[in-house]
Amino acid sequence: MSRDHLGERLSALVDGELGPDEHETALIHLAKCESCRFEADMLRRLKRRLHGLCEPEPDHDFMGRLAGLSRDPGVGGGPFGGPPGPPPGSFGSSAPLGSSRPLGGFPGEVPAVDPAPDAGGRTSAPGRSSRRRTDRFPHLFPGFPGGRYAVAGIAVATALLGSAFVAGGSTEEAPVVEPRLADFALEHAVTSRHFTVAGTGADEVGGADEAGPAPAER
Amino acid sequence: MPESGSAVEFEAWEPPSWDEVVRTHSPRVYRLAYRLTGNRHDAEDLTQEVFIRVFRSLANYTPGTFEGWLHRITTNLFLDTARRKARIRFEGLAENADERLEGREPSPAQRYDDRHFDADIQAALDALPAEFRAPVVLCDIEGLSYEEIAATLGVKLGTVRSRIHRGRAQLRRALEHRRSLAAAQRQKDGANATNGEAE
Repeated sequence: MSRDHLGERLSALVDGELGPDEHETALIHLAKCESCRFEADMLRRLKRRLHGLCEPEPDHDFMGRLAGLSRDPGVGGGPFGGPPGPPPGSFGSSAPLGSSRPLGGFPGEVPAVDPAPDAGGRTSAPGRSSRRRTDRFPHLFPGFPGGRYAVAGIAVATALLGSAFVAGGSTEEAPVVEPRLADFALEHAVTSRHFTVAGTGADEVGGADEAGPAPAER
Repeated sequence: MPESGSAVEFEAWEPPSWDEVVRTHSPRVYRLAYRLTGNRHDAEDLTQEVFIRVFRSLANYTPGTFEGWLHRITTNLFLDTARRKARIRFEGLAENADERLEGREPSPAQRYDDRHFDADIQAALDALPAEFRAPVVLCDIEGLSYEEIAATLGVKLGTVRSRIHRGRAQLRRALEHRRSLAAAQRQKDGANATNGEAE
């Protein structure tokens, strides 16, 4: 009998995650199985120590950089529902924020080939994001002065094609985050049972821009 | 009229400023990121990635659900990167690899000085495969329930239980190993010191 040790049920027991019946059975087993008792003790000890690890704090410089994200044009999109920018690289490979290299763009190269501003209005207005967007398009048409422009053209065409997939829905619903906040909020509402699960529930949250994930307040 | 008062409060609620969001949530995200990645540099990178996504989704900010969502994207970003970096193939791990029980009685190693434990346990956490590390961190450090962890990781409840158990078993083995190495080292140092005195 006591040969069948509790195995992973021990972890669940220590975490208080067993149902009442399983809990009872586990306690009966523990009463007569020394090795499982020992294991449970060790698990509790480990859990206690993990929980007691000191908590590292982010330093002020880093907090400042995070706060500065809202002023970084490379992050893309306005904070309140603006169109999402290009997806950033992985966290292990991206450049530090201080270097502020716009994600997915090559800002150093585009202005360097600035053709003579014959139109008159386009001198060197330092509007950063608008400069990047509008100056790219003229390079699509005056022939292909170099391979660089061909690459830029292909990149723009790819971006346009890519956005066509999004055009069916509202533009701000491009899959930036997995899961999206609205989806997560729906799940949360249903699992926490603060949400009346009626036929309309999904519709309500699915199309929600602002109030969908607010079950607790309703 | 308390009801109309609360209605007015509700109407008046506005999304927080970006500074507020950073101040409120970044310490917690950073701590989770630190325990997952094991070092400051990667923790900062991961936190930054998370906040770039937060920034883009701020229009959907709702107190109460936001914290869980942060857990989820932090963990998912970590797992994605870990998989990419280490090419971990979790499905290849043996199901019964951790079934066997550990030693039977507390060893002298268990009286190891707890002051060394933080560094030791972080090193042992770092050695865990990411798929085990994430649920252990979420459970034991962040205090999430199995259900919340299952939702965070997008896996079944049984999988959470199994990964936590196997993760802890590996953690214990790694800690035991580190303790015995430290004990051997101390013994060696002691012997050297005695020889030095004898000469």
